[in-house]
Amino acid sequence: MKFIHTADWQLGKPFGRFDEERRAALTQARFDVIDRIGQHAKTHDVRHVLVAGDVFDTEGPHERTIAQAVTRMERYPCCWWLLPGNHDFARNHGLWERVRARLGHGQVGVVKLLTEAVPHEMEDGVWLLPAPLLGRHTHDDPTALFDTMHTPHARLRIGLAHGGITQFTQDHESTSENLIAPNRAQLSALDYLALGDWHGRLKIDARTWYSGTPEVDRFHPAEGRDKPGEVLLVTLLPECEPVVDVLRTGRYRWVEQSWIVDGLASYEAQLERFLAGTDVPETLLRLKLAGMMDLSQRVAILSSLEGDIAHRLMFLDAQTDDVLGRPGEDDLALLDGEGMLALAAQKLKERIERGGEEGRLARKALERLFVEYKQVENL
Amino acid sequence: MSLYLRQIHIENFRRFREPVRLDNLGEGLNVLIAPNEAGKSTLLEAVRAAFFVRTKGQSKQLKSYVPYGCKVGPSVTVDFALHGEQWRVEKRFVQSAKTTLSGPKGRFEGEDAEHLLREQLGASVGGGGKKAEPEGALGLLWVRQAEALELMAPDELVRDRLRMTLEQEVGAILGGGAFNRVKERVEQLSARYGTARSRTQGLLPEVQARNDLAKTNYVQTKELYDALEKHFSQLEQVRTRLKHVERDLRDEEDQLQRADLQNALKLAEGAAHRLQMRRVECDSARRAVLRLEALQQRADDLAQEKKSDQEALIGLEQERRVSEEQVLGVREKIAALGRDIETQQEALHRQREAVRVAEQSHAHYARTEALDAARGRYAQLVSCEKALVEAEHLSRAVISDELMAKLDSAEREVVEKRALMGMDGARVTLSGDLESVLVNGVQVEPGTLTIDQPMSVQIGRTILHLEPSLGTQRARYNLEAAQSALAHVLREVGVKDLETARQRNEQARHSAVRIQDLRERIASLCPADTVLGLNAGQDALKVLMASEGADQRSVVDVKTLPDLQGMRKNVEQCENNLLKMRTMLGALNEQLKEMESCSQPLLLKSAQLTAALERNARDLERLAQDEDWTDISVKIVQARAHLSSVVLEAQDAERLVSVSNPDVIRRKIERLDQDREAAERTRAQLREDQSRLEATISADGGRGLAERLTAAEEERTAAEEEHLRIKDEVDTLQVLRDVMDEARSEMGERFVRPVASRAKSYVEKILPGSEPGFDETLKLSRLLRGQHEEESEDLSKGTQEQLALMVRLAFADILQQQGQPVSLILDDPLVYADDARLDLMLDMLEQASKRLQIVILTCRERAFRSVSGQRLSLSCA
Repeated sequence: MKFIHTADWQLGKPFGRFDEERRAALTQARFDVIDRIGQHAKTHDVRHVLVAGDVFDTEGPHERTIAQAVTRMERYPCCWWLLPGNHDFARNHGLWERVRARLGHGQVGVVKLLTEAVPHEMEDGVWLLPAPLLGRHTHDDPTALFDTMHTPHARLRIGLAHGGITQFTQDHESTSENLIAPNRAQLSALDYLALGDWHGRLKIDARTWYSGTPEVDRFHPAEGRDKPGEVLLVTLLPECEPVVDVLRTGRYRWVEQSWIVDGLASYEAQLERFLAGTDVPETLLRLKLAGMMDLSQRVAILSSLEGDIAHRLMFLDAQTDDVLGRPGEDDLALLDGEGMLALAAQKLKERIERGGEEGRLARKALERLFVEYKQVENL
Repeated sequence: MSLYLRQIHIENFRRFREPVRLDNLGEGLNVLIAPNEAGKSTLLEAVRAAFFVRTKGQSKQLKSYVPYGCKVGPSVTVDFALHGEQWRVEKRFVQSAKTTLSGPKGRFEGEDAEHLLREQLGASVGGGGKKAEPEGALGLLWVRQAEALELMAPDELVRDRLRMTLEQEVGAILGGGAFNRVKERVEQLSARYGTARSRTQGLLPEVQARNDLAKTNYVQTKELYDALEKHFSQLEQVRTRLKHVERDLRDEEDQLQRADLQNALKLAEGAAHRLQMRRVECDSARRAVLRLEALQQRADDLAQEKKSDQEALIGLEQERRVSEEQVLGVREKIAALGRDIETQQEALHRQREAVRVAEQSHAHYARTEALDAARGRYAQLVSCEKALVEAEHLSRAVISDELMAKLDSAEREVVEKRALMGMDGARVTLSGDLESVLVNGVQVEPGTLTIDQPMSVQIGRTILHLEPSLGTQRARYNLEAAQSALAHVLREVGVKDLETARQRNEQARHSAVRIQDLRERIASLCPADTVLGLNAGQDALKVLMASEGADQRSVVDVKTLPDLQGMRKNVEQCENNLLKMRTMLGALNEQLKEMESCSQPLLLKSAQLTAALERNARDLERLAQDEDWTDISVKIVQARAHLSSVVLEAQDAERLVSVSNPDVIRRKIERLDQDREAAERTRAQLREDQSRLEATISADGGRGLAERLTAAEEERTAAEEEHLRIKDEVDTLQVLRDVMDEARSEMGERFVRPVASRAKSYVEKILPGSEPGFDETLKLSRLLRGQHEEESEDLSKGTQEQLALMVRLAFADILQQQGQPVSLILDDPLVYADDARLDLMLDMLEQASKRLQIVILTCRERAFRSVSGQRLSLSCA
């Protein structure tokens, strides 16, 4: 028995904070990943794809979002088992009835909607036990129902659920709701428990895995969370531990980094290292820069980020507020003999030293004065 | 003297193609008077070029130095003293450009020379290149004639002088060139970003608009989304409620309960009906007991009466025993007749018994026939009504008590008169062979005859005419009168005799009781029957009978029933016989009383007693005729027992009704029905709501509201951040602008005050009592004359020019005090001054020339002729 375990497709995520062009690309990438999963299924001769919740980003996606998803899934000769998660929970006349209305137009693929907590016999003696979420917030363990499910002549029992594991409380996207017992696989005699909700791949025990999202959709500061998305190829045999292989599916890499720089040189060194280790045009970078340097160095770094790196990357979110441009002696010497300009710089410097919001604005103002003065001098 | 020019040498500079020289410049006041077009202004321009203009480059300014149509390098050489040391600056422009500065520190060339020169003069040291460099204090003090503006109006020219010289050149001293350019850029940036005040132009209003739009969009989408979510939650509520309502409607318990209640209702209605029946029975039984007891009481009373009468009669008999023998025969007759009566009575009794039995069988027949309850009751009703009519008829035949009293007294009169008549009559006793004796032609038996009327007795051929006594005749007459009175009263009443009248009254009284009985019976015979849909009342029963047919009686052979009618006839016959016998007995008794004439009162009393006894006996007889009389004591006991059992039953029925009140049960059933109806209505409403909500959700669901909401939310956040960022930039720029303005103002302030106080001392000389006012840019903005304040632009052109010059002097004084090298060159000054002012101004300049070198270039020889100081002239080199 082989199947693909995936989750958290979050189709229809709007990426509203990106500009039009990037927004369209990121949205398209989420649809494209369905095709990559389908291709993997074909290549590895897998007949079942288990999606452990949050197929859609919201319970009320646009009609096109649903149509794209269904059309793409039904292109591949496998069975897609879709589980409602907390983002796309099942309710009467809700999302899943809209999805159901669109099913059945494809030639080869089959899409099954697991909107009720009843077991399904996927293959002879192989039972799938789903734990769909019926509301945005569920406080009980949704997998507790597994114990009440009757699976006659079961060779293999596979659980499919969405939610956090109780033992994780921090560094985790999920809230305290939808908590699943960490030893659910053992409690309910499951051969494998396919989980969704956490967007990074995570092994809880030999039989309990989070697949992570197949196409990353956000920055995450944790170690190892800046890789492109993946799915799990799971091979199950009765009485044996599952064999889990990781297949890459993601296109974009979302990287969040914090650099401490003390000048242009250290910035350039770190930048070079970073660019060498990534597929630059398909990388989204959130860079938190911190450090103290002369104004001219700070201006140089900012102009490098804004004028160069931002264009080379898929996306750059440079947070440079913590790079403090300290007006250096050289900076101020430049303004000497400029009478009123030097006086203005002196006044701003005093305000900076007073600190607070006024100080912050004064720092920016001084930087601006400096930049403009340089521009004037260069004319 | 910090600085004075000593000698100027110019070659190939504008109009001076040939070398010219201006030497002999003194430390104090120097005046060059030359006609127009002599090259005074060119001279000043050359000096400025020597000090301020770099030699290299192709700028317009540099090119303007080259004489028209020549290709030569203009050159200027100036010898000057600075702080007591001798310097020379030599510059050649454009062609083979070079700069040479010779001084106490040696000789410098090129950029070093430029640098050193500026350093020495206190001008700012620029980075070189294209831009015009600040000219320092000298730029202010070396006042050009604005040749380029010649074509403009003179006032323009003057104002320009004021502004150009005071604003720009003061600014230049204060580093104003770079400042102004930076300020300009900052202003441009501000314009691009927009300001908090600007609502239409710049980035800030744009992002503001984007932010507002994003917010509006978010709010609108949120409203739509919330409405949809509300519909979802309403749908869920409706579903839950519908489920509950449907479960309630399916619930069998209510229906079972309703069936139970229906049964209970039937039982309760039966019980209520039974209670009504029991009450009727109760009343009926109570009346029966009362009637029986009254009957018994009357029997007891009669027996008592009879007993006392009989005792009285016995007493009378004892008294009359003396005449017993005489009346023995009569007595025997009476006794015989009494036996006959007895026999007759027994026979009558038997016959009545037979009648009663026959009546019972008839009643039985009636009951069996009325097996069908309704028909039976109807039959009874009919018979009851018939009986009622009869009873009412009888009841109406009652004779009034007055008439009865009349009858009673009339009869008593007859009896009395009859007794009196027999008492006085003579008696003839007949005995022996009486075959041949005829009395009134009739054979007689042996015995006594009373002569109470004329009679003839024939014995053989002998006829004896006997006439009664006069008393007897009178008595007879009295009797006849009494009889006639009685007959009259009887006719009046309409009865045969007194007995009949009494009977009729008895019957009438009896009937009255019977009428009430019958009416109640009719009422109880016509109870409501819900099963048949029959209302209470006889009319309803009749209607029913009319529709159903009342004649379908159970077939019972009437022939097998005894002939009640015949039997009753016999009884009547028998009673008539008995009556006759009694009449005869009365006659005998009267005969006996006649015979007992010796004691009339006794006889009368006896007769009265007898009559009373007779009445008593008749009453007893009638009593005995009552169907209830037989075994009356048993019947009373039975009736009482029946009454108590019926009362108990009635109580039971009441209890039953009290515990199972049909109205209460009906209300319960109604409530159950209402509950169900309400539930059904609710179900219909909920189903409607459900369809409506499902339709709404289906319609709205496809609009992707949640996705749109998330997008709108993110757009709102992004717009907000953008807005904040731009706002921050705007704020930053505002801070920068404020600080720059502040710096300029402060820097200006450093000079304004001393300049103002200096200028004041000059101004007072030409405008006593006036005080000049300066703004922060050192611009002379107003003039205070006493209480009046005048804007500088409103001053006369001459005054403006004079003030400008005075301000320069003041400014030069201050710069010199600060150790800056200053000298004043005036190109064609005081053009607008009147003579008086001109003198004052020249005095002022002479005074000033003691502190600094002043060079006046003018064409107006007459005006400046009297001025002291060094006279200069341009000479060819």
